[in-house]
Formats: sequence, C-alpha cells, structure tokens
Amino acid sequence: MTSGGTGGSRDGEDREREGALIRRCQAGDLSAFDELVTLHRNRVFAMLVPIVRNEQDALDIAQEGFVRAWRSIGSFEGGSAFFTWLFRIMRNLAIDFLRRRRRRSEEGWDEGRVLEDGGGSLGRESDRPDERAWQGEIGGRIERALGTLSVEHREVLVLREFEGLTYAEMADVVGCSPGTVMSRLFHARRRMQEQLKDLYEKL
Amino acid sequence: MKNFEEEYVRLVDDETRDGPDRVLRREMEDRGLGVGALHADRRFLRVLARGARRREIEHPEFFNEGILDRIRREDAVGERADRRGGAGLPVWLRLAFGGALCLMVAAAMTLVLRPYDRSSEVGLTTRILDVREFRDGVTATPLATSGNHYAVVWVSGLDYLPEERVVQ
Repeated sequence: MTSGGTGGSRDGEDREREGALIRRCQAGDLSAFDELVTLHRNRVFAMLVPIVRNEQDALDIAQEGFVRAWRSIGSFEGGSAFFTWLFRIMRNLAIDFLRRRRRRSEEGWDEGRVLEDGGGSLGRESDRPDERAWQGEIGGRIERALGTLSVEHREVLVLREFEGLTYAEMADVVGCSPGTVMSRLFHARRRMQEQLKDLYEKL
Repeated sequence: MKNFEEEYVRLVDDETRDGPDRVLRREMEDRGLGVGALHADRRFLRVLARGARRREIEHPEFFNEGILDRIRREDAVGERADRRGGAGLPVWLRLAFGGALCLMVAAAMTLVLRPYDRSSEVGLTTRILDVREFRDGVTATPLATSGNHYAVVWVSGLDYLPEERVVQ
C-alpha cells in the first residue's frame, strides 16, 4: 500500500461535488446534508465497527456524529479534507463511548457486547465461492485479533489498512503527530502479525 | 537514527523501495528483524487488506432519515424556545434576570415568614398575683394583666356567695 490512501485518490469531480454540497449545508440546506451523509455513511460505518466492535453501537455513533457534523459544519473551513474532519468527530465519539462502556463494564453494568464471529454484511465480496469462504474465515480471525489491541493501536490500524488514510490524515483524525501515528502503527502491526502468523505464512 | 519505528513503517509501506539502507538494516538486525522481515510484513499487509471485512449499512434510507428527523426535531424545539423569548438573550443577561428574580422571591418570603410579633398579645396575658384560701375549700385568685389595665379576682369553690362576703 502506498502512502496516498483512498481519501487522496478521489477524482476532482467528486471533490467539487462534495465542496458544493458543503457550501449548501453551510447555508442551511438540509437536503444537501442528506446527500453528504449518503456519500460518507458506509465509510464512516466501516471505520467505526472494528473500533467499537459492535454494529449497533457503530450505527448509533455514526448517527450522533452526523448530527454533530451538521451542527458544526459552519466552522468547517476546508483546511483539511472533509472526511478527515468527519472522521475526527466520529473517532472522538467512539473513544468517549468506549470509555463509558469500560466504566460500565468495570461496574458490572455492561458486559460489552462485542463482535464474536465478525458477522454482518460484507463489502468487496469476491464472486468466487472459495475466495468468499477464505474472506469469511480470515475476516473473523482479523477481527478477533483486532479486539486484542488497545484502542490507540486499533484505530491507527483501521485508518491505515482498511481506510487507506495517509500518515498526515491519520494524525489529523487522531490528534497527534505523524511520528506518533507511525510508532503506534509499527506496534499494532507487530501485535497483529504475532497473532495471525500461521495465516499469512502459509500463503 | 531519528526514529526506527517511523523509518521502518515508511519502508514497509513504500513498495518502490526494495530494501532498507545500511543504517536501517543495522537497526533492524539489532531488533531481531531479519532480511525476510520486510517481505513478511508486506505479505501480511496484503492479507490484511484482502481479508478485512467491509461492512455496509443494511438500511441506509432509515439511517439517513433518523439523522434528518433528529435535526428537524431539535431545530423545532430551538425555534419554540426562541418564540417563548429569553432563549435568544445572552447568558449573562439571563443570569442577571435570574438573580434579580431570586432576590425578589427572597424578599417576599422574608416579609411573609418574619417572626410573629407577640407584643400585640401583651394585653391578653395575665399574671397570678396571689392565691388565698378560705374555709370550705374556697379560694380567691387575684389576676392582673401585665399592663395593669384590668384586675380580676377569680373565686372558686363557692356554691353561692353569702351576702356579707360580697366585696364591691
């Protein structure tokens, strides 16, 4: 994977359309926001699920995040890409949520409903049944391994390997320096590799 | 080396680079990362990208509608508050109004609940001046108001008052 990331590879037409939607939102046009949500909802959801490890919680956080984005879209000046701005809102909500869930869990209120078999709809599904079966098996293993990482390690891994953000974009979302992001990424990858060694060595 | 972890991550991610430079290679060896580590890391990342589940929202139209509905409801609540007045005032002004209101309530409560003045009752209280006993269990008790406006003699134990005992 190169450092470009999928966020940076979107063509100019998309960016122009997104920019026009943002300007309409800033003028109070709710139908433009509807379109903006449609543009980003799956990406936001896909980013949140492996971080909070529960689909329903990810949906709730995503909805809350979009409402907050609407409330503060007037302050978006375009200094960074819109999706990094949006990811930052979502990421902060997810971190708050995980803190609350940990507190509840410590107090015995919540067992922390988390993904077990990694169920849910799959995107980028292969047409080949053997490939789909492989994806199903490896997807479950990856999600279980992700669950053993700390939140800091999990989020950088998700942003980089699943969402394809650049180091600078990740630093913007996470709120620390690119050097710190890369250091976390280094350790997160090593932890994951230790757990999935059998899986990638036999390929 | 400035930061090994940073340099190594850059090397793994930049597939145009075949291998580490001399300094980085030495650092890798010091940390137990052999020659094959770089290729193993890249293979691992390819597996990760290929196997990662990509979820999509199952009912996207409900998802959008939930967001828009909440925004509309919150906006409606805000507008109602604006119409009621006060919501548009600056916080300091609202606090000042609140403080003044509290002071007025406190003043009213002070007036209503002040300690009851018993001075007006003084004329109704009496003092027992003496208790005199006569034969046959007859007693006479002279009473006086504290202001000495009235004096009363309370006689008890008499079935009737003999004529010779009547005191004018």
